[in-house]
Formats: sequence, C-alpha cells, structure tokens
Amino acid sequence: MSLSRRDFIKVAGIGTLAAATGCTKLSGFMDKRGGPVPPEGIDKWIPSVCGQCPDGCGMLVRVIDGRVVKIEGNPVHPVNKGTLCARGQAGLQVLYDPDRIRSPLRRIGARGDGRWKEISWDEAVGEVAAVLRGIRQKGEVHTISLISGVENGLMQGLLGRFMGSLDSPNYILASDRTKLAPFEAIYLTQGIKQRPLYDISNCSFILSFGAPLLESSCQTLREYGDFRRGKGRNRGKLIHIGPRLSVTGIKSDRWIPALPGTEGEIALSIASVIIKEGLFDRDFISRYTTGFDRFVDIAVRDYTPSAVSKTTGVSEDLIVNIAREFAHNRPSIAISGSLMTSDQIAIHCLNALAGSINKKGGIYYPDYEQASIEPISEWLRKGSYKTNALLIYKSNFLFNMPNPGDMYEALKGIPFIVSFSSFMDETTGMADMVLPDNTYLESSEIVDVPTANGVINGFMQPVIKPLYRTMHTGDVILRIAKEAGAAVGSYKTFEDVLFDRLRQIHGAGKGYVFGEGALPQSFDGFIKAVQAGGGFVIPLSRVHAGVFNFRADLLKGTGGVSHHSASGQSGGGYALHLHTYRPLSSAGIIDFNQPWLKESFAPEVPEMWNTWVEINPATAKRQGINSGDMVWVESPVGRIRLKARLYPGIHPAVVAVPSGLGEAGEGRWNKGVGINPLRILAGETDPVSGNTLFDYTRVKVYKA
Amino acid sequence: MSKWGMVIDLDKCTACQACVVACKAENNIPPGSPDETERQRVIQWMEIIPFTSGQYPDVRMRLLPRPCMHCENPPCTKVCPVRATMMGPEGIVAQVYARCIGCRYCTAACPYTVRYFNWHKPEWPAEMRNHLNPDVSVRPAGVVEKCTFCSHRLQKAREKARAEGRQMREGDYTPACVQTCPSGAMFFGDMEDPHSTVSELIKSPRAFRLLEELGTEPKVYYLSEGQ
Repeated sequence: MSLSRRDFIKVAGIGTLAAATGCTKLSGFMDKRGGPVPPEGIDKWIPSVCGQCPDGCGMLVRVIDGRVVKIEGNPVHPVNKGTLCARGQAGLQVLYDPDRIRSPLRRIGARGDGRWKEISWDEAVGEVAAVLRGIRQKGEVHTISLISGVENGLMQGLLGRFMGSLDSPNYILASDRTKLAPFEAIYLTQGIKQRPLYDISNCSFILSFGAPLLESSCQTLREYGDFRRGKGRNRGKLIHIGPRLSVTGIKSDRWIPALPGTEGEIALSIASVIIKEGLFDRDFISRYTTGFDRFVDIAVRDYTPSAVSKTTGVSEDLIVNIAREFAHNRPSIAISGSLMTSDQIAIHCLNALAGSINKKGGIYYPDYEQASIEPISEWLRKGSYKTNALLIYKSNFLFNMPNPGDMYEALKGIPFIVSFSSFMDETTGMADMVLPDNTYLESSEIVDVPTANGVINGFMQPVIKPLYRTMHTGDVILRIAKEAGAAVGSYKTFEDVLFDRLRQIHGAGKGYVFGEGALPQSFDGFIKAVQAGGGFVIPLSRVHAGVFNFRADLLKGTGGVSHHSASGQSGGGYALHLHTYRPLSSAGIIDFNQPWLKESFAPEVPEMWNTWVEINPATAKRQGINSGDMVWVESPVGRIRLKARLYPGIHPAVVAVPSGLGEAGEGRWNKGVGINPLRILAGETDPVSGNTLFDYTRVKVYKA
Repeated sequence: MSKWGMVIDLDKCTACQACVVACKAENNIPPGSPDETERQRVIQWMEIIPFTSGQYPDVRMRLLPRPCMHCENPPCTKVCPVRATMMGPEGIVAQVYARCIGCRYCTAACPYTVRYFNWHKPEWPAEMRNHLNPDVSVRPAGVVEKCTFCSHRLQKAREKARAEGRQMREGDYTPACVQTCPSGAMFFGDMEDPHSTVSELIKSPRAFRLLEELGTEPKVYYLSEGQ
C-alpha cells in the first residue's frame, strides 16, 4: 500500500517494535483517600526524537488511547542505544505542562504586563504577515531580525531560507546551552570551523579544565561508562582542574582547585614539563605543526612549574606528575569549556603535544557544516540600526544571557516582537504576539547529529495530536512567508520540507535505516522503515586536519592579553570570584517548569526549589557566615539575596551559584522558585572572540 | 526460583539522575512542591545521596544512587503489625497498600530510609493525570510506599514469556531505573543464576553493600570507584 502524503505526518498511528499488549489488572485498592485510577487501554510504542536538549536522542514513547504514558530510549538509535537521561524521562511534564500556551495570543496590556487576548490562527498569521509586508514595502528588510535557539534540524535551515526570501541578513542563532568544546581555539589553531568530537569512549586519560563533561551532553554520559569500564580496555583516568568540585570533579580521580582565569597558565606549565622531558609526540609535531619553536620559548621560559605554582597555588610536583601522566597515557585529551580564548588555546596545544589530533581516542572533526552559534550580546552590538520586527524561536535569551538589562532596553525600542514559544517565559512575555509551537511530542523534525560513525538523523514524529490550539512553527513560517509575499520555494507545509529532505537522502542512496542493513529500494519502503526504526544514518567523511598552528601570539602575556582579566574589577571590595554553573538537569532545556527535574536539580547539593551560594567553609568563617544564613552576593552590576551553603568543594577565593532556576513567566513551578544569578554577571567579553565570559565577575558576599 | 538483585557500578555512574526521574515517571509519583520539600515529605523511591569526606582541598565526595535494598533479611517486614509488608518468594520486598494501617513502624525500622509515607491523597494537575501508568496503582493517603523493583514489569515479562511458550531470559525483566541508565552503570537480574551478569559482577573485589554489618543482606550491590 502506498502512503499518501496526507497520512504521513498525521499522528503516527503506526504501532511499532513492541507489539500491543494488554495491560495488567490493577491489584491495589482505591477509596476516597486515593488518587485517580489510571485508565487502562491498548498500548503502542512510537519512535521519535527527544527535544529536551539538542543532542537528538531517540525515544520510544508509550501511548495508550491518545495519552502519553512513558518515554524510554530507542534501543536501535545509535546516539543513545535505548537509554535516556533525566531530562528525556521528564518529557511527560513538558507535554502535560498545565501552564503551556494554548492558543495564539495578542498583547492587550503594556508590554510585559502579562495581559493577553486569545486570537485565531488566521488573525495571528495575517497580522504578522502584514507587518512584515509593510516593512518590505518600505525597503527596510534589514530591520527584520530572527533569533533562534535551534542548533540543528530542518527548522534551522528553513528559518534561514525564510530570512533569505525576506532579504534580511539578520538571522541570529543563539543557543542557550553551555558549550562543551573550545570552538574558538580549534578555529584559531587549526582553521577548522566544524565541531570537534572528543572520542571519550576510547581515550585513556582526560584532563578536564572545568569542562562540563557530565553536565551537558547525553552522548558524553554514555561514553563515560565506556571510558571507565568499557569491554576490552583499561580503565580511563580523569583529572578535573577548576574552581569548583562539580559532578565531573566528583566523578574524577582527582580534583585540583584553580581560580578562574588560571587554567591556561596551568596548561602551559604542563606543556613546559612535557617539552623539557621530551615526552611530546615528535612525529606529529614535526609533520603537522607550525609555530612550535616560539611556543617552546614561551612555555619553557615563562611557565615553569615553579613559576606557575607560585601564581596558581598548584604544587610543582602535581604539575610534573600530571604532565607525565598526560604524556604517557595516550591517547589523552585535554578539554575545556567556554574559557577565555587564550586559555582555550593553551589547553588545546596539549592535544597537539600528545598527538591526539585525528586519532582514535583523541579528537575528530567530522566534515559536517553546522550553523555557528553567536552570543546574543553580539546582536545587541551589531544593532547600529533600528530593528522594526523581531521574531523569536525556541530561545529564552533574557533568562540565559548575563546582565540582560541592556537587552530589555533594546526590546522596548522594537515596535513589533513575535514569539513562537510553547511557554510563557520572560522573553515571550516581552512579545506583542505569541504564535505557540507544538511541543516535541506533538511535532515533526529530522534531527541531525554528526558522530564518528556518520550523521545520525533522528526522525521526530508526532506521537499524539496537539493537545491545544498550537501549530508547528514550520507550518506557521511558511504561511507567513506566503502571505508576506516572500514564499519559501514551493513549500506549503513543513511536511513538504521533510519529504524533500527524505527524497534527497533516498535518492543519494547512501547510509542505512536504524536497525536495518541498507536503505530500502522503494521510497515508500524507506519512509515506513524510518517511521518504524526512528531514523537513518548517512556516511560522513572527516575534515583533513591540516596543520596545527601553536599560535603563541594569542597566549596570555604575549598578544597584549593580560592575566586575570577579572582582576580589573577587584577594586571596591569585590574580593571573590563568582562562578556560575548549570546542572545537567536544566542544561539545554527551553522551559524548566518541570517539577521532577526541579526535585533533582543538583545531586551534589541536597537543596531543592531554591538557589543557593556555595562558600568555602574557611571563607565563610572569616566573614561570620553560617550554613543556612541569608547573604547578599553583590557584583558591580547588582546584588541577589541567597541562602548560604558551606561547600568544601570550592576554592576559598570563589563563590559558586547554580543557574537554571529563577525563570519568570507563567510556569507554576518556575514562579518564585530560585534566583537567576546571570543577571549580576558583568557580561565581560573575550578580547579575541567577543564571546561572553561567564566566570570573570567579581563579587562580595555579606550577611543579609 | 529466581532471586532478583541489582548491581550499581559507581565507577560508571555519572550521577545524572535519569534513574531518579525514570522511577517517578514509571511509578506514578506526583510532582513535588517547595512546601512538601520543606516538610521533608518528598517521595523518591530512588534517590542520589551525597557523601562528603575530608576538607578542602583534599575533599572527596561520593554520589550514591539508593533504591530499596530488598534485603534478604529485611528489618521492615518484621515490625509490621498487620503483615502489610513482606518479602515475596523471589526476594522482592513488597507493600500491600490495602492492608497498611499507616503506623510507619517499617519506615522507622528501615536503616536505608527507603520507605515513604503518604501524608496526603496524591494530587496531579488535571493535565498531568493523562500520563499515569495503568500498570501501577496510585497510592491512597495514609499508607507507606516504597521501591518495588518495578515488580509490575516482572508480571508482564512473565506473561509475555508464557505467551511465547518459553522460559524467562535475562533482560526480559528490567526495572525502569536500570533500563534508562545512560552510562550503563546499573545491572539487574537473577542472583540465583550463577551465570547471570549480576552474579558475575558481585564476585568483583570492588563489590560492597550498604551497612553490611547490620546483617540485613541487601540484594543491591555496589561496585566501588577507582582501580
């Protein structure tokens, strides 16, 4: 039977993999003391893709009579192989979030007042199209901007084409997620823009410079198990250097406390030992690198273990030992989070010294272009001309950016703001119109994830009909485009975009469907297999890594980049560094109105529904602060009142505050729960890349 | 007769809490609130417990996932005045809600603090009632509840094996927490079968049980971190 296009994306009625089974009878008793009795029915398991973060894990969703009852990992999906993290498990609370936006809305009060009127989809689409058409007619297309938080998938490309057909250059990708990899360092040393893959499963030694290995990506969680106890390999060793004993630090073999901004120096001192003792990969250095001599001069001359030990407090012996372990236990990886570019480069140079570039257990570069993410502050700076219309898709940037005061001001000056959000968060609260998207369990998409074994393309299909009057933003965008006179190709609905892509893949004939050998011959067969298996894989080559440039010119102290950029603000009694971190439970999540995750916020600190500040017991004692006291954490930008927790896993000169709580908006489990520490960040930017620096704010802490 | 047991390899565990949330989703645990937390009434059959030792900078922390230990010699069943809790023939310590009188002797007797009392009728916003699992009954107010090793899944697995005319195999029956574990740190199976994965794993010199000195003989084993 041939599948008609119309049937295709209309709620998957196809029960797959697991056969429908009857349910076991309830054995418990129920009386007026009891809660609701869950209704029984015939169940189906439908494959789709998790939308809680951009990692693209495959799910099997248990649906009983149109109710979504459980989410498990899809065993044939190559990204997560049947597993799912806490965020994926909590997806039921996204779909059934009682505070979701249920229909298109028009603002009736002042901006940000939270007073809305429900309107029809025709009205909503017509109004947005009319505004865009008006701007185009005036020849001011450059004053239309779109901010999207979506890193991958077909929506990302479709929005790009939409902005292209409007002739506006202002399509800004601003992911809210903590970055796991040092993109800037890799670009500057290797000229590679593609995202790196750290082969953690096969690596013997990881030197983490504050990297959120176990606080960001589900893929890393899975690889970590192999890294420690994979079959047929020795146990991998992990050392974590950073200001705070994070979950990565707790699970590491050793945590070495270090002040923010000293990571690069420590890396260079490790490099100096490796060079001095001749432990580097000579073959790699001579064949694939340039600038080594100058790097040697600087590292060996200025960053001896004794010198760095004095400035960082890390003992000489320790530096020498780490250097030897790093050099001997190959393949080894040095990895950082989003530090200053100069620090990132120093750290990434260790990978060249160990010859870990383009090697099993080292770092790969899949040849796969993905849109580059910009910090949202960049858009503000670029905004030298007025923006007349701003469209916002899947990004709560007012919550996720440091010190958003300027952004609120900028938004006030924009005459027309549209949000496509499913949730009433602070950013959507500033909109004039809301055209609510479906949640991911009601939606369709192809989510592409480059891996060492090819591009995994997870097929997201709606497992139930939309619960409310919401609509796939792809469909909405195409309608707006058409009505604004800027149609995107011949596409009428997002389904056309999906089909186009699937035809392209099937036509190319390369790759395989999850759980199957090859691509089925017929297109219908391909579609059915993709719907039943959950997606397909297409082969991928690797970037030729080329020459590694040690870029000694960009290291600290050489290119006019000063040490400790934060020290500039240390006047005014701001004696402590503020470190903010995002726990895994909320990493990449668009709206955190999810009580199960809130109860599991950070496993290392048994505190729920509240934001706290972690202070080293010695520092607290000096300031007369006891555990549980309310204290002010004050930066030059502002102050927040938090509960003090004495935490032995923090550098005495640093205080740490988790981010992720304190969302404004309508969510009943968001309102009044916690405080967002990002709003007191100084928002300093990196002198090389212009990226926002999260760890370079100074604060003082005193009793409230 | 099978004896069901669990092994948690702390060296592979990433403390991601997937097990914690999977358990709540599978077993119809209502969403919590700041107020319930304040009163220490949050129900978490599976919980990550942090242990800290030493002082800065030589501080060590451990994060321990803690389900019910399903003790072979359970202190909780012995104190129940109405036989509402007992160990089943396959070693699962069960709670019969219809018999429970809410005296909470068992809660006090459990050295692992895995038993939770329902102070209220469980409540969900109307929308969230849709995701309730029909395989697990919702507990009424006034009774104690605990981890069941997802024994409803055992019933299903057994029915399925019978329908297919075969014996149960390893992997047929897996609790929700074990199934979802991203790093593959959790294992589950028959401790009576000498060839099962769990039986092999507990031979490791890294294997230990919590508060072993109490003689409760937990059927949840841990494998310690490090070499």
